[in-house]
Amino acid sequence: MPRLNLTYSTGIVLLALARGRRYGFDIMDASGLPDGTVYPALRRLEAAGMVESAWEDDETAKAEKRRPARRYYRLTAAGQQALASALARYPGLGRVLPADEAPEPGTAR
Amino acid sequence: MKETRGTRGGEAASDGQRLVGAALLIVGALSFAAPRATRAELRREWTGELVAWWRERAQRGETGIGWRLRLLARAVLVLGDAWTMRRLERGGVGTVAVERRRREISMRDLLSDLAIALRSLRRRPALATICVLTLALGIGATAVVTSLAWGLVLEPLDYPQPEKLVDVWPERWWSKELFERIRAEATSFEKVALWSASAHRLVGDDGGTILQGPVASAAFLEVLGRSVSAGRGLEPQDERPGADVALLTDEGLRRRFASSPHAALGRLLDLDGRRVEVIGVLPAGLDVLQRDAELVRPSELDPEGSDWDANYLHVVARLRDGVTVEAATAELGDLARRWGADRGWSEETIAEAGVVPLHDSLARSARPSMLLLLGAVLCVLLLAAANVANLLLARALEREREMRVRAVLGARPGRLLRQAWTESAVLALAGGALGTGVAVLGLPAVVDLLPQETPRLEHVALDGWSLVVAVVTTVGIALLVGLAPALHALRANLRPVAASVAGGGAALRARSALVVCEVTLAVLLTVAAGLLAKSFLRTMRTDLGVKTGGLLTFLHVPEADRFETPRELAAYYDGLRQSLAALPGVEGVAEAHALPIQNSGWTMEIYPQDRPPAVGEPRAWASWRPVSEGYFGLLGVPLLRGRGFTGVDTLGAPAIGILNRTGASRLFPDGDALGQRVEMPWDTGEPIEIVGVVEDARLKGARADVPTTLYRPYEQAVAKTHAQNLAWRSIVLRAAGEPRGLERQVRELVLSFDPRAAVDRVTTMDEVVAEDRAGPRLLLVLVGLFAGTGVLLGAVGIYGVLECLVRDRLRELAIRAALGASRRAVRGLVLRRSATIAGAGALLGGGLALLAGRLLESSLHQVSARDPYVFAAALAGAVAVALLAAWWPARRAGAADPGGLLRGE
Repeated sequence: MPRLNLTYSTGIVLLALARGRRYGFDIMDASGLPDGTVYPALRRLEAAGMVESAWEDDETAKAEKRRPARRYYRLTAAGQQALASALARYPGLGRVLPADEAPEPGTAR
Repeated sequence: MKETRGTRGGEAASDGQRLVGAALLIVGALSFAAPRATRAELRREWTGELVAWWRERAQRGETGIGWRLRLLARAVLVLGDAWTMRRLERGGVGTVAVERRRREISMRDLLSDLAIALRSLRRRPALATICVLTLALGIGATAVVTSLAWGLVLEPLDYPQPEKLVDVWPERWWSKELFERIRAEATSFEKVALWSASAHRLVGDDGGTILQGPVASAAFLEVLGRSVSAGRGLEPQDERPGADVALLTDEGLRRRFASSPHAALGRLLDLDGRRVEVIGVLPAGLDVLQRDAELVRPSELDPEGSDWDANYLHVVARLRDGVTVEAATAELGDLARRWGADRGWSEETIAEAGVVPLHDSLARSARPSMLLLLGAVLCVLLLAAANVANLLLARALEREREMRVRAVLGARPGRLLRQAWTESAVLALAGGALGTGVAVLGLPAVVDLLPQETPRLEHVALDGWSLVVAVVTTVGIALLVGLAPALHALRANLRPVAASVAGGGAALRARSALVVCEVTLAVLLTVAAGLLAKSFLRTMRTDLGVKTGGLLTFLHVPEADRFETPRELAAYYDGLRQSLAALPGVEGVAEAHALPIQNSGWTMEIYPQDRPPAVGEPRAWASWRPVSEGYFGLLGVPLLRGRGFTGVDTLGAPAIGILNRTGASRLFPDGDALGQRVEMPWDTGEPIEIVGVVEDARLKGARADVPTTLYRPYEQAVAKTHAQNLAWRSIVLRAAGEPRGLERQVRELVLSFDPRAAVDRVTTMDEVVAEDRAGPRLLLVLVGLFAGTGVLLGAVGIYGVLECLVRDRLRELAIRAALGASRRAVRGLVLRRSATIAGAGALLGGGLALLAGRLLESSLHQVSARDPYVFAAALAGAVAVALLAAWWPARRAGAADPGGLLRGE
């Protein structure tokens, strides 16, 4: 497993996932992180085993709304741990991301 | 206009789909920045996200322009992610935080690039201004012309399945009788309808008014594929005589019933002397093929009716599923052969039978000039781009040294490239912003200048997309063009700092090539403008055969059914004429069925009494013009032979007529027309004796040929058809002073003479003539403007290149001078260079203009598209302007002081 340097923005991405954001754009919207950060962070976190991803069931997406499938992300156990240490390292992190309710799966905010 | 066409749900949805499609295209293109291994996966992920995101917006109705822009922004921003991932992959370990820092630095770079670009543009304000102005003109003109072309020529008709709508045998004027046959016999059409543009007299509480509205057979709406929005549509029983019903268009509903269908439905209108019931209301935005139409009336299809076999109608149809235009044309050919057999149609007539897509038929008149304008605008865009390239190349040359120093100090190639690009982007953006302004202000002005009867003119609106296309094109061109100096900078970067200025030669050659292009385009535009100008002058100088100055005209519509005999009608108009003539400031009054240029009037078959046409022989046609006593004198049409009309030429008297000169020589080529008799079956049917010959008048405008014209005394002219319409007359007044000054007096007098009469289309003959020239004039103004820009840019380009040349070679020139070359020789060197560039451009431009001749031909009047004088003038002009532009650099070269220069080195 490659070592991951736990930065502030990586922490935000982890936190957004923990709060129920499931999609890349969704995380960008929630975190306010600029373009060019979220996707690379997700890729790195996934490579480090802290995040896992899967494709929406293609058939459901198509049958429901006739749209292409989306890829969604969620935290692994290792990711939960990393988030805890990120929160310890950057105590202000929790305030960056508004603690609104986790949206229903499949809907954006 | 667009607003009136209404938005339908489906339209918005498909619009959104197009937008998402565009966003996905952007993502697809930008994803190439991502590392190859993950590219496909990322693209799929982003596609899913974008579509889902937009769907949610759409579900909440968040589809406004802000949201649309955000969608596009999202798509563009994936570039950031793709780019970062590529750099991470290349750079191995890195962190997001570090990436962010790098991005911030690049943001700072961008700002500094911007500052450098602005500074360097400010250093050459004249050139930068010219660049921005030409870009603005290019973008603005492109947006205006493409909007025009879209509205007039390209935009699909706003009907369901518009590609199935066809104009049936558009060259032919149909009769009701023939329409009955095609309706019964043709199998290619799902529905077929006849129609004719028409005007109606409505009498309301405040007197009579004229309103526009087509007369059409019952299936008209079905052919168009639309139905009424309230009430009922036209039914077959409405085609029977005496069915006094009408449909109101949205325009009519708005004007007459304050947009309330309830108030309108079932109401009786006093229309054309009958009580006509409003049975239905048409949806907003439905184009009923006649401008400003307020209603649609059913056509009476009565075999006993007086106009049963009169040819004055159009036929439109909707093709049956699976039937092509070619198949329908073939069928119509067969039908025409059958119909023509007992009508004596000639082979030529039968050969034209066919169907034309309705859209082509409506757009036909505007197409040639639109193509010409699109071509001209393309030249302007290219010119603008070449000019920007030229400016940037000049800048690159000047900065070569600076670039090299920066490269040696560690600036990366990409950085230098971007800086060169920033400059073009700044120019393009400034040009784009100004160009938008040009388009917004220019389009209404251009529409105003177009003849008002241009078909589909009401569909012209500034098209957002055409503006986007223009801006994107220019920015794209500017970026491409910016590549040249950037590459130059890069190459410079590779050379050692101490390298000689030899590279300047290559850049100078590149600039010379660009200037040759500019001159080429300028000459092309100048030739086009010159040809149009010559053609316009010919049009202006064409003798219309009518003295138009000081004439006020209006259409006078009395209650037609009040007059039981032609004598009564004649007495009514005699009275009106005398009252009008008695007004102070009025020098003369006359009436005509159709005014020169303004109305096409009716065309009827004509032949000498003793030489009726044989079966299958082409027929001769004449413009049929009933006029009152005094008409020829008032309009200044000289009587060449015989006599004019007088009060004795009444209905009981022998039928007489006056031919124009062309008609007299065509019908009686080897003899005197005077005293001969002609037959006009559509007139009263009696043989008509020719009692006079008048000079030709260009009744159809300066650009059309003079038709055979037969004038008839009004009282005798009781055509078999439309007897009622002969009550509608154009009245012409000669004013002692300004004709418009009489307008109020005339209206008051007419109303006091007959309170139920309607007065419409009050205008002057001079305005009628101006309207006839509006199209060519607009074309000339636009192309002339473009050509002027081209010449200016070409001159500026030549000047810039020579300046550069002289600066670069000042040393060499000084040495030459020191070695004894005369100033003249040195000046000659520079002038020769200028002449070479201009000559090459002029020849290329002239050649292109010869090739482009076909595009121009149909817009020219009495001028060949290869007019040698225009070509020679344009070419000579180009060389003259080039030498003028070279004069200052040449002087400077000649004045080079060898001593000072060599010392300065």
